[in-house]
Amino acid sequence: MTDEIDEMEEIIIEFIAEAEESLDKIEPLFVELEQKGEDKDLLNDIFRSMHTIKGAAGFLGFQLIVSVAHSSENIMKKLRDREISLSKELMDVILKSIDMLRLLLEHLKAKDGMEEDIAPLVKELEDALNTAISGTGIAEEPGEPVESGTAATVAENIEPREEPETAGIPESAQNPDAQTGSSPAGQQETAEVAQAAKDNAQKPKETPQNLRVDIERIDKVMDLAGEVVLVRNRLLNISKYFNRNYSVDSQTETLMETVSFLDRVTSDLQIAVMKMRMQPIKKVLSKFPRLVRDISASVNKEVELIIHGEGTEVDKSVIEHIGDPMTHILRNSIDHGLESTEERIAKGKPPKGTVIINIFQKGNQIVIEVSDDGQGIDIEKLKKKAIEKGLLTEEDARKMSDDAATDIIFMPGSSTKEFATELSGRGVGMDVVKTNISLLNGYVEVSTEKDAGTTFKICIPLTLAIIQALMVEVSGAKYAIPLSPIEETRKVSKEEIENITGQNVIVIRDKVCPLFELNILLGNGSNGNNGNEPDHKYIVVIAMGDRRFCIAVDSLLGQEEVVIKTLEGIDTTSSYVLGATITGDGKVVFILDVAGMSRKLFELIKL
Amino acid sequence: METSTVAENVLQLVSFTLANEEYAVDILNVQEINRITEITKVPNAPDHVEGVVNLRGKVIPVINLRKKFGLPEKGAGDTTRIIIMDIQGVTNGLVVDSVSEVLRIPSGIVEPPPVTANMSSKFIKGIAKLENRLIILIDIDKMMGEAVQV
Repeated sequence: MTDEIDEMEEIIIEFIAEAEESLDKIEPLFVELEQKGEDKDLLNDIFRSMHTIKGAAGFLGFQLIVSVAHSSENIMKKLRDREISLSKELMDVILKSIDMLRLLLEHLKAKDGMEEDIAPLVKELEDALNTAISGTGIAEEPGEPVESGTAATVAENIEPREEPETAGIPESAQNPDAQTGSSPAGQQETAEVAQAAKDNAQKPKETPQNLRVDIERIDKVMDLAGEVVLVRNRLLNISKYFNRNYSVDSQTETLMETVSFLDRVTSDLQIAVMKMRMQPIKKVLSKFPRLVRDISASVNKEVELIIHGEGTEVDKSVIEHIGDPMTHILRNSIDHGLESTEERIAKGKPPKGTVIINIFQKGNQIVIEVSDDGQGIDIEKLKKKAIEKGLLTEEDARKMSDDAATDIIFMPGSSTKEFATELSGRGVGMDVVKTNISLLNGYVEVSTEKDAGTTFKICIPLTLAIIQALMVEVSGAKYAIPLSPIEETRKVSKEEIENITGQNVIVIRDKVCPLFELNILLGNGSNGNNGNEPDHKYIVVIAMGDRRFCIAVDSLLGQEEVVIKTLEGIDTTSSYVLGATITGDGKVVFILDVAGMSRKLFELIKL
Repeated sequence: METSTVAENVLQLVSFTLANEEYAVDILNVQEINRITEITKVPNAPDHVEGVVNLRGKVIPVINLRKKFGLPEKGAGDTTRIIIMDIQGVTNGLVVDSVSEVLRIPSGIVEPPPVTANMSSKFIKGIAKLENRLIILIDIDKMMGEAVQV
């Protein structure tokens, strides 16, 4: 190792990233361990990861991390060698040590030079170990305390293979399911992780090659790919023009061929770049087993968490933003959804509640379902609460369908729990969930059945950067409507449009659907036809969750793949616009925010 | 102001006209000056937001300074320009009647803005007195800061 600060810095950054990954990996294993009992493979795995952290930290001189890792490794060693048996107390203290390790890593990352007082925790770990040893009746001397900072400890902790210059590298080779997430190993199911990690340890050389790339570089490539898409669209337009007007020229044919080749390559490029940003959603899920364990312990309920489809890949931006809403829903399900153990037994349900997270891809959307087998949402109670809090009038509540009523929980300021608990019901309600998800251009809906449970269904687009859109035109201006919420488009005659108490509606397959003029929604005043209503109109039927409405436009221009450009410098909260795109002819076209539109419109007409 | 000091106490400004008055902004904020291109109207936007334009693949908002300053409207003409400015990291375009020149003036001739009840006077950093003309120096950060919040 050289004395150069840059190099040292890089090694430390590498170490932090790897240590965090190791912690992410072992945390769910602990919870699994608790469920499965003492599984030797699992224990081995945990032990090894902890040992690696300790070794690398020791080498770099992070004594606090070494001490914590060492103490909890001691416990795992004894567990692995079956000298002590696993207890809840032991698990609690081990999980605490993981929290502490995370905290210490945070300090390293922030370079704030802050230190945590780890002495109480180390003592707690040792005490727990001693208790466990005396509990099992095996006479054993207590885990040797760490000799702080001595060369002996450090040397002992470093395995021979870890040459100083390459300290960070062997670990990265062992962690194929790391950062990039593009490797097949990244899609393993949790159950397989133990086995896979073991395999990896045995043949580290054969693991797929991974590269850690700064996300900014990928985003830059993404931006450039977006530019290429726009240029491709322009070229397609130009080549069509040449094909129309100069089709006799042999060069025109060459141009057409070249452009269509560019077209294909561009599409491939776009997909390839998008995949670079895709990561298994497992990254978010790994914290949930622990979270569920902690929540259920604090509300005294027994909960089993089942996760399906954690290998599903989603865009990085989705990974970043989906964690909080999911955590909130999980808390809600356990705290409010599931009944207490006694209640469950009284109802003849299994005493242990189940929460299932099911993730799958549907078209170009990711669907995340969180279901519990609890008591369901009491709709009457919900309505009553909403009336009390002034969120609804009594008349509205009476008219409201049950489906519509469940949406009350997404209103700001509604919480059905009588008393705020430690976990949820702190005034921060499900409305936050809804807001966060609509920021991702997605939507959330809830279905519930009394005593059978509640399911939250989140739908979000796979990526946020490029979307399929329907191009429409009103009064000469083009707009793009995201394709995913569009149910259908129709040509309707004037006679089909009816007016009920001032609201235009149209009947589609026996269902009444409110109809809005896009022109009026966008603040362009009249519908631009000077009172001369054309005989026919085109309508776009939008379905957001169970809400459905129609937008009337002058004409439909066709489907296009558009790159979303964010708007900086102007406030678009009231303009129903989620971004803009640049079309083939270089014009700026706004992409409409139909989710926002739906929210606003249904607030107004209160359907 | 300090940032524009090239030699001691010299301000470099870009001057432009709006309704027969001459204004100027700090040259360091100015990225480029373009002829007026096709502007796409922003739905339900405040009046002074003229729309957005495509600046080499980037979508940037365009502010109509006449409307912003409460001056009478005037359609785009031959001399109409969009001044592309970088204001605190955000790129914006300002529509002006015409762009005049790049000025180098000693900061000594800039006087503080007159105290008036005029709402746009709070965007004025000072008034530069040249031989036979007055140039209004605009505090662009203050002005756009407000425009963004609207």
